[in-house]
Amino acid sequence: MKSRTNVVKNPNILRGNLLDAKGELQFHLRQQKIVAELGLKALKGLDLDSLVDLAVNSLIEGLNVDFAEVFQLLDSQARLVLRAGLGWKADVRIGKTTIAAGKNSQAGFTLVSRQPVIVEDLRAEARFKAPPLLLRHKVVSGISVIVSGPEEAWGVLGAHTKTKRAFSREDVAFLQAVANILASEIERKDLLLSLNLSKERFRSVVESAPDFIFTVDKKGKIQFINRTISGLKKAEVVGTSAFDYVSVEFRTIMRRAFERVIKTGLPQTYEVKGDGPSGKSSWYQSNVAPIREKSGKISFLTVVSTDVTEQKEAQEEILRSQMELEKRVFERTSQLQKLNENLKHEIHFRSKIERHLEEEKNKMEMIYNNTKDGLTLYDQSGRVVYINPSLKRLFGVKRNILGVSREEIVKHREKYFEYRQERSDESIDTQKKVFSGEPITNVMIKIFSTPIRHIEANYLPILGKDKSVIGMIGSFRDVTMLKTQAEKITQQLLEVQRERNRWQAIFENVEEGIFVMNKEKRIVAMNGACETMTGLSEEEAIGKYAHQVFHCHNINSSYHPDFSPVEKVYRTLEPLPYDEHIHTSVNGQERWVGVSYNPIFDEKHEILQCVGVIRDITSIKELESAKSEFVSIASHELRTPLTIINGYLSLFINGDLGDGADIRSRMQQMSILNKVYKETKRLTILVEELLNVSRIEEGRLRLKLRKCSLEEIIKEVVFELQPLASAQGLELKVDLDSKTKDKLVLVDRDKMKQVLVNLLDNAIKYNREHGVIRVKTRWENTRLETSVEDTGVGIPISLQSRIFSKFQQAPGSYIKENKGTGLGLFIAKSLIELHAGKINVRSKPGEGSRFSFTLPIIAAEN
Amino acid sequence: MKEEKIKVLLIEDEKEVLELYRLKLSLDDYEVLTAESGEEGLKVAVKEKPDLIYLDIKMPEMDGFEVLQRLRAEENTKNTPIVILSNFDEQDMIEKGLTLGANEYLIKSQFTPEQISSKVKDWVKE
Repeated sequence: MKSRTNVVKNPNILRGNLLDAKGELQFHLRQQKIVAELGLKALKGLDLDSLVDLAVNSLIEGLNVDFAEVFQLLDSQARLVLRAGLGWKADVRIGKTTIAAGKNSQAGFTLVSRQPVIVEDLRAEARFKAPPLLLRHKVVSGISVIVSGPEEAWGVLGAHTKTKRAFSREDVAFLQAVANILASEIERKDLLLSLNLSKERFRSVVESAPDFIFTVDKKGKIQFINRTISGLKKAEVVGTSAFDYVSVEFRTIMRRAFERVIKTGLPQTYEVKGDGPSGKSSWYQSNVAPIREKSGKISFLTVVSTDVTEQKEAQEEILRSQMELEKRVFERTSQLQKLNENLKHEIHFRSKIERHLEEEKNKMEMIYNNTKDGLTLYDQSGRVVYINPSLKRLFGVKRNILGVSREEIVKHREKYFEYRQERSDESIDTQKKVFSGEPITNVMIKIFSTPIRHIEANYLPILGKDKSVIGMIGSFRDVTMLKTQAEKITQQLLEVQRERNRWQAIFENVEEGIFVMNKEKRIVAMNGACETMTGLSEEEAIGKYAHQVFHCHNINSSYHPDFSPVEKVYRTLEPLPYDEHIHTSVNGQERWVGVSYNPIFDEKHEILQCVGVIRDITSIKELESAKSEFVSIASHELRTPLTIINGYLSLFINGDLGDGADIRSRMQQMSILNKVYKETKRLTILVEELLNVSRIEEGRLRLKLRKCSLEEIIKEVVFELQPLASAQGLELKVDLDSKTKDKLVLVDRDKMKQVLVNLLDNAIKYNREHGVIRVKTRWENTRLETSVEDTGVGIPISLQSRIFSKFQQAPGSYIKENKGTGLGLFIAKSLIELHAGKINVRSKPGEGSRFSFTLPIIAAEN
Repeated sequence: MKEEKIKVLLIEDEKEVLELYRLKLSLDDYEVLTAESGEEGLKVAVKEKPDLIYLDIKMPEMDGFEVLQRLRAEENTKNTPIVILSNFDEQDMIEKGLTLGANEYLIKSQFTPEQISSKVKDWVKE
């Protein structure tokens, strides 16, 4: 060490203080001894903790100081921890006490300055801040050096004194020497650690390698193996022969490879088939290399065996394919030879076949030329190359079309064909499609020859050997007969259908209900009218007995089905011309019906079916009853005045009314005669009105229409009835619209007067005492409204809807003596309607009634 | 002749007809009560208890058939002879009248006032 050589140059020694020099020399010798002992201990493999303890002891001993310490720099680099110490108070604890790094401690400063630090007097120290640890122990002087580590500084080694002391260079050297021993030990420990680590790493790599890695001695005995083999544990394998794990036939190859390695010292490669980890046989490619001792002598061999089964199999596969290929090439060659022979053979026959084909062609042409169907052939460019005689005939070909393109023919048909034609297709379209390989069939062509012909055409592509279209064939068949027949049949079918539909329509739409019964009197069909009448649908009715569907009975009693008219028909085999019943529908509605039955017989004169016709005659019945009611009332009304007339006359004749000798008797007779006269008059009016009603109802009433001013007619009637109104104390007001003044209406003057008389007469009769009657006209658009209003008792609401019917009279006539006939309003309404007008009533019981009618205005008065 | 005259009720809405029969029946010395409507006739009949009732059929509001039914339902008139006088000659009307309790059905125009008056003797015992 450098420091040791410097000892002699110490100036103190040169000053000749021999005693001191001797003591110093001894001191330093002791220091050297201490270092040597420490180094020896370190070499013996003392652990680091013991070594640092030993180091601080050495320092106390070697330097004669109060304190010694080893600080290790923590990973954080911010603090140092005490690893060993001597002389320190009890609270300073090994492995626990830390101090700050940097310039906050002597140790920190030592690390920063990267060189030994000598402190002569801590109290005067300015380079770093004295740490509390040193101050607390009243340290005055001290030295410190770095303990280096494998990469960076490991820590600091220091020694301190309580008294002031000047540390020499030798002291520093001694300290450094101890630090160096520590450093080398730390480095060795680190190296060992990393060595151990890399060994571990290596082992795991080897063990997890997919390859077999093993070592053998020169005789091939396995010393180490990384994996199990043949299902054996690694320990079981060690000591066995490596050759045992290889198939017998490959053992020689393997042995030779090993021998060559030993002989030449060079690595060798060999391929063998051997056991795998589980004992399954695989192909292995192995590298064997020698491992030498330091002397250069080969001590053992390492073998790395890689599983190459897949590659091997792939190689074998390739080999097999190659062989197969060769085999095929051979086969093909022989086939080709055979083919060649056949070809020669065929060429030999070809001439024969061509002759045969020629014959065939001739035969075909014969057929083509004689067939009824038209035929054309087109070449690849669409030119006609052949047509047969039938085609010429069908289309009326009038000039040569061989060699002409189809496009040209289609464009100028009239040039090439005698007959006009109509086609169901687009000619050029069809051609394009066929030449693209698509056959077009069922093209209909209408030829306007005499007679017209219908042709069905089919176009087919002619395919070459390579399936390309090399032409087109067109065939044309005369289907005129078929078509006309089909049309005729369709026509007939349509006719039948129409006829059927017509009958069906009649059946469904007649007002009469028609139904058909089978032999068993069950319904098999019925029309809509029956459905309406019975309230059952045809589906519901079919299968039921007629009497279950049609509930016909007399007014008083129901028919028992056994005695029904249907039964009678089936029993007597006679048709039933007509019978009247009341029919009750499902919902209980009763209607009068007229029924007739007509049986249809089979050849044995047994009833096959029976057709029933049922007709709703309710309205006829109602009309009949209305008529008989009219007759009844009319005769009643006629008899009333007759009763009075006859009665009084009989009293006269019997002398009940005196002899007329005295005035009193004569007065009575006069009064009676007056009554008789009035009744006669009433009878006359009644007869007259009844005749009118009869004429109206039978449509025999003729109007003598003339252009009139309605205003004039109104004035006339009012003038006539004014006395009667006045006699009853009634006020008769006329209020005519100025706009209607010059308007004309087309009316029968007398009939219109009658209407007005009837209305005014009613207004007088049904008025109240001192009442008012208003006659008004009002012009509205093209119509003229006339109204007659009274202030009488009005018409009960229940009667208002019937007031225009025959013999309907409102109660409360003011003039009891002058009874009406009950026909006046009916006649008025009928007459107004005959004039294309309308009549209305508005009435409030107790307040009066207002009758109004409108008539169309036809012209303005000139 | 008794002191008390036979009481005859005429129910008839036709004023002239009523007057005709009233005249004849009075001349024949009967006490004649008259009513010009069904309602009135019913009232008078129940009150006056006539010996015979002549009843018209065709009347507004309440017709003769209804009056007849009601008279037959009244204690005072249930046995009173009722002769229908009508100008309806339909068979069903005649049957209806007799079914409802009329003693006789006469068609006015076929009988003289004298013949009608003589019916009193047929139905009322002196």
